[in-house]
Amino acid sequence: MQPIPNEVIERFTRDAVRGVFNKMLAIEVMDDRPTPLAADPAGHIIGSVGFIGQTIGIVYLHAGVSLARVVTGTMLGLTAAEVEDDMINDAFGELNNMVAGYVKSQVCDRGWPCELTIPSIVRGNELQVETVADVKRTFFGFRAGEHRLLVEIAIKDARH
Amino acid sequence: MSIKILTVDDSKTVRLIVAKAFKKFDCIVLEAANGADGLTVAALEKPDVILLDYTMPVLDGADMVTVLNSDPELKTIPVVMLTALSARETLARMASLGVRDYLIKPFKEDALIERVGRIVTLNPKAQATPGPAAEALELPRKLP
Repeated sequence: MQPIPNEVIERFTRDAVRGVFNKMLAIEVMDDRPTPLAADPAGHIIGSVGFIGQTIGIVYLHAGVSLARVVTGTMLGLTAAEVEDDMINDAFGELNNMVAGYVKSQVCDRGWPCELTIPSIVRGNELQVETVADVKRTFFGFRAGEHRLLVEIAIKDARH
Repeated sequence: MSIKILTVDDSKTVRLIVAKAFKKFDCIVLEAANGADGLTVAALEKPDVILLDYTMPVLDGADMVTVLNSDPELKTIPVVMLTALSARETLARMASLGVRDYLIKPFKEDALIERVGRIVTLNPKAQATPGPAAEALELPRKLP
């Protein structure tokens, strides 16, 4: 089986992020360069959802906690001040799940069947994801107002 | 008599979104974080409709529906799947389980209310005050 072409992954990922932000949050996102995120005084958050099957990989969402707080408040109809820390983790995980779910569904429908894992979240300062050598990593940048979001798709071919 | 809606989702965020969506209606929203807990609540409370996630730990949505279908007292409860998965295979699996309807995440609150409103009659709460019309439009906004 052929690996999933880059342009296909890019289209699905961009459609997924735009769709989730627009439909669930009514927030407009623009494409941006996939450069590393600037420091956020509130720290960084990385969500991850894996997919396993004909294709194996992980969808990572990288953002500042400031954006995650806005996202959480918008999802739950709360002000930023009303948003508690555990709400941010859960809401960002669900956001990650929706993005990964869309990508997974599109990939499945095109002949690479796979299943999703449960989302997980890591928070801290100056976080960095490292993967093993035979994983192809692709980054997609987005901008929502003054905030930036980075989506990383790490794919390992199931044949390896 | 208030309508009982059971939301079964491992994401507290989704459960809160469901509770918020039906706040203005004469509804009682019950919650469970996985299929096993969902079955327990369903057996105790006999909800009028179940809003069910597909991928969950402990017991997933498909397995919960299978157990519901095998229980004479619970099999008539309508199930609406709320899932981030829209692959043809997943939709076919949901159809084969006999779920009443499905809604793909992300979804708008109005769409959720509309789907549930097809199954049960949603009466506004007597004291409920209607929100501003702009809320229903949900136009994409630009963050500062």
